[in-house]
Amino acid sequence: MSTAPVQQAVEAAFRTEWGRVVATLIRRTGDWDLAEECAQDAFAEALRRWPADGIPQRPGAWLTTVAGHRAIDRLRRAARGAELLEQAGREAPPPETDEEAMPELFEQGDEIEDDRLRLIFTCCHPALPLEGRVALTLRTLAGLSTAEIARAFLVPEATMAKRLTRTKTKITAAKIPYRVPPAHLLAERTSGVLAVLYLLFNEGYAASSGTELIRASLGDEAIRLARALRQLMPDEPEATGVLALMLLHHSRRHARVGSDGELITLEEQDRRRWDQAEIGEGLQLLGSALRRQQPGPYQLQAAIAACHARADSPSSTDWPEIARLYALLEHQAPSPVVRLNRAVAVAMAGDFDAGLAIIDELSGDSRLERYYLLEATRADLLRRRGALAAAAAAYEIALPLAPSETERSYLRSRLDECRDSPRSRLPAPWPEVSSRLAGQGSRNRACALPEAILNRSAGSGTASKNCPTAAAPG
Amino acid sequence: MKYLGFVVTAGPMPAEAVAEMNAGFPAYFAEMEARGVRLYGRELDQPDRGVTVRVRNGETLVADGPFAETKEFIGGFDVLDCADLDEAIEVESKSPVAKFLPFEVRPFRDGLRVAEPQAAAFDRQDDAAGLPYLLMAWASATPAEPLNEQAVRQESEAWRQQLEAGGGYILGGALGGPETATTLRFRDGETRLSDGPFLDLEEFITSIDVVSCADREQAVALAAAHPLARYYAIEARPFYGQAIHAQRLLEESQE
Repeated sequence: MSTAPVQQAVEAAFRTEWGRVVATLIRRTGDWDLAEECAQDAFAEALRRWPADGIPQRPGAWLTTVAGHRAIDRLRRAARGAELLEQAGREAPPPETDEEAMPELFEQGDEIEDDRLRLIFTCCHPALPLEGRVALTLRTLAGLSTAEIARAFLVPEATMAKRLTRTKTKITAAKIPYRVPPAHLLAERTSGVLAVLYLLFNEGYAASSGTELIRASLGDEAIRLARALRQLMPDEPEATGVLALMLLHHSRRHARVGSDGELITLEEQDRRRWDQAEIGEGLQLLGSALRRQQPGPYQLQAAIAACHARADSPSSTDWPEIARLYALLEHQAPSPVVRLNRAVAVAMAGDFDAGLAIIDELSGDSRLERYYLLEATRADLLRRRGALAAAAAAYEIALPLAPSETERSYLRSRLDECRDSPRSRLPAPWPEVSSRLAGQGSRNRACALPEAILNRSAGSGTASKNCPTAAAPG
Repeated sequence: MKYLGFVVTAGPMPAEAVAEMNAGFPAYFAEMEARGVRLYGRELDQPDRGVTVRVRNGETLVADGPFAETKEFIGGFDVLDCADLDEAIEVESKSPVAKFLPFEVRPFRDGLRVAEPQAAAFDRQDDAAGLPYLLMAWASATPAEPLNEQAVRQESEAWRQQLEAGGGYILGGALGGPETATTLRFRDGETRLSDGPFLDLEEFITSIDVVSCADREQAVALAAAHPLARYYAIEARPFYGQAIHAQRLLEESQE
């Protein structure tokens, strides 16, 4: 057999089987490093043997078996080494693994699915550092190399290696259980897993030049992991919801970056460039999740994204529905940022006074102190309503609070418009706060964009750690 | 696995909170002791009642008060025996204290040394045999002299063994590093977890030992004899209890 198809088969197997092989080996050996090393060995072995032996019918089973053999070999060697050391009269740790348990390494079956679920719940355990959860999920479940993860998060490889080691050390030293949490913890821990996956997805949206490709692939990885999670938890509508949400945002990826790499607001995007296949799948998934009648934060956010996805043009957006969805979301995951988004939707649905009244209320909220989007949103609504002098005053308050030059120059141009433009040149009613919603950005950017924050903080309290504005009230 | 749960406090609490906690303790202790997951625990005296001891060039340096002057400090602990971290978190989060104060949970690195019947007496606040003191070894990245971890580990075990033989040891052991710590905070009706120790300091507590002392001088002497006193600092603090309470009354009457 020529090597090209084998190479492809191994690559395909890597994408689908890596997480399973690692997950099963961790369960059997309790050793995360050993599991990764042996999984790597198994894929190397596949590259060597499949050209001659042919591609096995069940590559996953083949790989798990080979990796299992490797694990036994290594453990035997370690045990012998320990014995020799002991004979030499020196101290050595006892072999940790019961060799009697080893033959089970070859078992195949349904348990393997469960192992991946065990793995994801353990990687996303709330006692682990958030960045460690993200990195370990990418390493063990998605099979990204340490170097790849380091590049994606813009840190040196050594830093990422340390982060991974530290996270694994905590799992072992503090004895974080390798399991799917029991019923009383399941809901809480599930939202923690969803938050990690969604965080990963949002990281994928930080498209700055140079890192764009790597980051975009993070979005793909997040979707792949969300697909796997949905398969593993078919009865959890929020798992379906997060996948729908990702797909609906992902569908806009080609339209949201301009030729110079600049971000294009939702309002200005060429909707013909939205990926209709992803929109279709996202809408279908969302429908199936909502039929279970347990709408959680991810389903609600997906429903909001769906309102945009269904609209052929900005002006045909169903703002009353979006306002209603934000109200539901605010009820479930109360946050001033969600409320700010609701204010925009209420105003865009036609009731500017009501929208501005919500913003007035929010002005007293210490959590939004120095949050530039509060004033920028007020300014935008006033501008759309034609109250240009009041809008200009609000832009002036927002300007020095904006965190980046991109945002400041955007506000400056709006401010100039308000000062100079005759009313006739006003743009169509569409607020940039809402139009610049979709999970964009680097951490800083995420802090600056309401829905990005909302997305990060809605699923779990832990995920919002990244965004002090939203997470550290008062 | 054996875990230590530190409770973190900022000082005296409102009377209603104290009353609510006290009302909750009997059922809590009954449940956790029946399950065998909570082994021992006590409340510590105020940090300014303690003393910090270092040994440098063979000389014992004693400073009054805690090692770190922080607004929040360790107010007591529970020693837990749990299947895993999830269970340890569950046990601490159910404590009547957890609603008011955060906990930090850390595994004992090499297991727990317990001297009985001293430990049982300590847990029931029976201090007839002597005042229990907590010795906390505060480690940092820069020990006062180069440190051979293996050797110090053995030395520490020998020190504990010797104390135990003399009846002065109660319980203790080395802790997992700060990277193994988990902090629990009660907020919005539920327990939130975060990675790492509660006190965000460069130094961290690397071991705890509860010892029985006749008086403060003996506590200083025991702290100075701690193998880690040469490299780091040992904070010694009495536990709160009837003996302390009586002593306090006596001091006040003398003043």
